[in-house]
Amino acid sequence: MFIRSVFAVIFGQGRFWRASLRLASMMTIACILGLYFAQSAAGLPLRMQPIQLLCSSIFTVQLMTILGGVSILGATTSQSSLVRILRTLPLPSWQLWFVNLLPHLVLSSIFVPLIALPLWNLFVAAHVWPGLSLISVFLGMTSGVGLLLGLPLAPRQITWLWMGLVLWAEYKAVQLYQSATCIPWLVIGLALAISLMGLLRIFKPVPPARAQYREVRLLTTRVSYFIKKVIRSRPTRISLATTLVLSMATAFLCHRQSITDAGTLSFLITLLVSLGATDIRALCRRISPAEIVGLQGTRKFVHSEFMAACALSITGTAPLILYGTVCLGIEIIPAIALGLAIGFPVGTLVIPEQRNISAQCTATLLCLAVTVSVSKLTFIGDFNQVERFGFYLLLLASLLLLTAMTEYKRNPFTWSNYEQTKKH
Amino acid sequence: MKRGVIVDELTLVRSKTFKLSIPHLQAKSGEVLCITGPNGSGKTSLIECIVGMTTPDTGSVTINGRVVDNNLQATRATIGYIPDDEAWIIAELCATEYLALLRSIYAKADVRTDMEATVRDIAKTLHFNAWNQQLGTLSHGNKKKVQIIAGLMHRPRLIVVDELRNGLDPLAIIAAEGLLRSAAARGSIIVATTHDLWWAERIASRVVLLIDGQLRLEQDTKSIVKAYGSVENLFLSQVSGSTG
Repeated sequence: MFIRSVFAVIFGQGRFWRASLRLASMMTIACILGLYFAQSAAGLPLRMQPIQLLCSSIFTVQLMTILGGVSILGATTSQSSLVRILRTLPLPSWQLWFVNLLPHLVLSSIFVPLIALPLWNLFVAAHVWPGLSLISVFLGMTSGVGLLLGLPLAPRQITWLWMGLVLWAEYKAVQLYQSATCIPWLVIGLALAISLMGLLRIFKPVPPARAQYREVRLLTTRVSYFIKKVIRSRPTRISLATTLVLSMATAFLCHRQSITDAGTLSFLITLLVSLGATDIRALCRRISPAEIVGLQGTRKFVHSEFMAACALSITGTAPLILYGTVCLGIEIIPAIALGLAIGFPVGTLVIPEQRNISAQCTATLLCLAVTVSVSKLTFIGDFNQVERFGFYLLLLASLLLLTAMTEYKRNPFTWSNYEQTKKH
Repeated sequence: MKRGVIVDELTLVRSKTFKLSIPHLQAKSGEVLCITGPNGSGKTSLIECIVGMTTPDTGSVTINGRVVDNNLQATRATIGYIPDDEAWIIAELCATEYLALLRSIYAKADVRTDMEATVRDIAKTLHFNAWNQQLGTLSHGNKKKVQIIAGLMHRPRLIVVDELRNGLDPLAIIAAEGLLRSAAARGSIIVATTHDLWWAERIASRVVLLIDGQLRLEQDTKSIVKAYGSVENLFLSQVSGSTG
């Protein structure tokens, strides 16, 4: 009863069948994507030693977990009301711990086929015992979650520094592997240690929510309304910062590995921009009629929301876009346009609200699936072809128009409503 | 074993400018203790310490002989908390599901009362019947009614109430007051915070006045009325004295 209710609240807005259905659909998407990636990985000619492959896999899985972890962090915040109530009830501490851990556990298990299937084939292709791939998935995922949760006694702000430091150290260790034999074991040890530290963080009591007394400027300026809203809200601020850090890390990795291939860069930019746009729209979905009226009607409201989502998703991906521009010039513009064209409709279709973890996760998977599918469409071919500029921009414009029309239909509060209420 | 709630040498620093400091405070079985004070005087912080949501920096809270910190799980089964916070519900569940969830948790914590019957009785008293509507979509008053049912369903020995009257209609207020009085008559301790001094005077056997986190006054309601004419007069004299 207890676990069923908690599961239903976290994943299905109180309905068990809805939670199960959502998780099943997410698992299906993850399996399909996993099988597709596995097929691509099977043909790769790899000549790596088992331990080297293991360390690289741990590092990659860790990065992917952090990417998916933005949704998990949002969920941890969203279920705070549930946790607050449960903390006043006579529950054993292990049950409270379990409630904190449940979203991480469920979402991690959904992402397992997405990562484990290609890794399995990769290990087979490298003639390494494939069971090691499962170990790397386990260590990578737990340490990724551990990194996201931060240090047990340190304030939240330190998490970003800590995350950057660990990722940098691991990257250096993977690089230096050939000169010192102890380094792989250090990587594995570090992954284990940060997993444990992250789990310890869960035991730290959640302080009761307190109102923060801060003087803020009025929100009613239309153009910057949503930008301010996104930056003031902690979950979206975190997600924006994570996208920025990931984008920096990806740009750095691409630079170090001399990746200048237009297809890969365009794929990465499209994926990050679409994820950013969907994530930013998560906050924009938390609206009230008063906001729409305050912003002088749905049309101006939707305009303000779209401008903010565009600006912030591009800002979040800025380091990678910058790197792409240096390597490819204006050829990356189609990738950005495609990213936005994917992110906006997905955000409208799935409605990834902050309170709704399964919707956020589905949105992430959908963005990934659509980006992969688009990259495989023969008539589109490479993302980066300059002659496709017009096509991508047209696609972006039509999808934005479609999304805006849907939003307009959903939020039928107009400025004239306000004028009428004033007359009465 | 000492019965009742005992707050001893409690201090809690909330910010650079606010420190809650309660040298000693006691509420006995069957007593209704009203905590009042101006905004930001520390009423909610004190309640959070009593319920076990916040750990005080120093000092202790003992409920029926058990220190709240050490026996948190055992103590929680004996506490009923009725908050003044609309978000203090699981918005996704309906009342039936929410109360069933609480019932299962209390049952596992060895609460032996017939909670199903109690829920029915309290709901009837409060005229609550929106059983199958999601809690998030209920009106403010109905949410409060669910919170009252949730706080009283396991017949707790300590009932902590934050602004009981907020959001309730006059009939529900009278009914809820009746529920608290009958709980006190059964031997439960009621600790209530309120800004409604007239209500405090009507229901409380003792009144505690907090100003700037300090325990300014703790006195029998009857003696307050005798000395000052009303609890409101006492409040005005103490608060205007401290601020002006």
